[in-house]
Amino acid sequence: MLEIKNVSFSYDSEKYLFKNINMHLEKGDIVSILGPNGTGKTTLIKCILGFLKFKTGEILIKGDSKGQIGYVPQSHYLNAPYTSLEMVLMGRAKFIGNFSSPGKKDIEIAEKMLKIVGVEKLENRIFNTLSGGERQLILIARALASECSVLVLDEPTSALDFNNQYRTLNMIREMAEEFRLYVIFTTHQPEHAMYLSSKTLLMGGKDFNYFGKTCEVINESNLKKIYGLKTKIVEIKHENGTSKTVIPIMG
Amino acid sequence: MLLRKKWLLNILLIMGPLLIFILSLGMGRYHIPLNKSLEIFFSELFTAKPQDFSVERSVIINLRIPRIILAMLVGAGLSVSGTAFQGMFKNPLVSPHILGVSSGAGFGGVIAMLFFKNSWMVFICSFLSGLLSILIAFYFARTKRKITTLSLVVSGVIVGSFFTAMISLIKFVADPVDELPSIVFWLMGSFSGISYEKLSLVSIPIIACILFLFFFRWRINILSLGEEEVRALGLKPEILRWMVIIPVTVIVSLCVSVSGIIGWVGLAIPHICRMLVGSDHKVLIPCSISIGAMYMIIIDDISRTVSSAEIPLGILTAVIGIIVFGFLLKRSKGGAWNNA
Repeated sequence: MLEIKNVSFSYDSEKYLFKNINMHLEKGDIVSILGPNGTGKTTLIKCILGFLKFKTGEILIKGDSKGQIGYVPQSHYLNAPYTSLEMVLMGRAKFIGNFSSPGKKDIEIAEKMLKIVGVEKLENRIFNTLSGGERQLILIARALASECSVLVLDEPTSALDFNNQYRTLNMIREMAEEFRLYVIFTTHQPEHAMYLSSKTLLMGGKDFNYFGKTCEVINESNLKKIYGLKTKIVEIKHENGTSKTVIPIMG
Repeated sequence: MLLRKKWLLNILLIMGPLLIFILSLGMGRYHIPLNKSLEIFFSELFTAKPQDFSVERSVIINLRIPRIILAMLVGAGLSVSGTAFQGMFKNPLVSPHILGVSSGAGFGGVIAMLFFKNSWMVFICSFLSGLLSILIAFYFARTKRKITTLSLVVSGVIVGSFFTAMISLIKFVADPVDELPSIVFWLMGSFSGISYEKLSLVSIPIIACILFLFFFRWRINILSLGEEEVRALGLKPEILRWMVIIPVTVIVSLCVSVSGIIGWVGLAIPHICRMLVGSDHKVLIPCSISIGAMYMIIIDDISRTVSSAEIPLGILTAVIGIIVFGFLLKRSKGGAWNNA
């Protein structure tokens, strides 16, 4: 079990960006973090990753996992003139000493991960020349190669086209099941949260942070509270079941 | 990537510098034919007591060999430093001189020339003031117990500019007949004053630092992704950064202390290598060591052959480096940095 207990963060000691956030995840759980710009989603992620320090609170990981966190950044930040395989190999960095290079076993693992996310054909292509969707998958493969038990993704769908958004979301779901990962991702799309995650953290500014089951947390009144926008959540039946979507009501 | 066959590349990288080393033995103002220079070199290598006391032997053994070895070390050292820095700072415009070390070392050397007029003091002072300059850069870069890459580069540029200004001041006050020409000549770079004593003193630390960067090379790949990425991969960027900066500082200050400020090698050679073998530091670092060594021997050959007075190395590295670099840049459609 992964528990995030009572965490708060502030850049100076007076103004808190967020306060007393609690989350708990079981293995295989996918949690989405949803909220307007500037409420601290990325900051929370950076704290979880250890780039920044929480002011209060702690993260606890119980059970057999070592608690290694794999990170998938927003891919458009990276300028890496390396091949896909070289990129995935970098996920092995912790297991490779300062003065050595990846060995056969590391290469095998990297190739296996490329295959699992379905991009083994891109092995020798240069990372920068790939499309946004392909880069996203390779970064997921890199996180998996680091043998992580927690997978953190920062807006994994933000730079992708409509089809690739859902390809990536499906891939995240498959990986969470296959490797029994704790997955935490941020998003701006309530639909994506509803599509993928079992639990959601709504971050609506200082006082309004609400964590719970996605189907309970994402409702019309909560969306109104955090975005100040009237919405209608609609359920649509189709041949493969039902899907939910959010429609803003203007005027 | 121009060179795809791995075994061919390995052979070229190992044999190239050795071949150029041997061919260069005969080159210079005092020309020695190849068979003669080979004979002298190998008889010196394999016989315990040489019988030959000719001028040729003396030229090759006492002048050319230390000089060529020094050229190899300096060329390999500067270009591997440039490659490591360009990778670490994620910036193709960076050269090993970016943190102000070479200007600092140059300043120390010039001071020693003015006050001590002793080549050993020039060597010692410039090495120490190179180290001093990076300490000053650390001091200015450190705020709130942290040193960011950007603040380090900016403070390096500040320190470098300060020492450059101080060098100009010393040139201004130096005796224009007696001291100024030797200062200017030294600053432009030369291998001519090298002795076996000095060579053995600098070669061990330079080789050690080159080897350090060689074995560290895969980490430079990771460093080139940026600080947050390094952290996300479970490593500590602050520590890894010092593991590049310290050997580079030692290499650059030693190079300046024995041969003056030789520019452009640390900027052009890494680019040329990147065009040849791509951006993976696993291949790029050995490639830049080897090509840097070859390039510097050839530059030094030219410097002592084309005219009766030796042409300063700094001028040749700039002129030849820029021309070669320019044509390669044109051929590769903008360099290997963006898409390899």
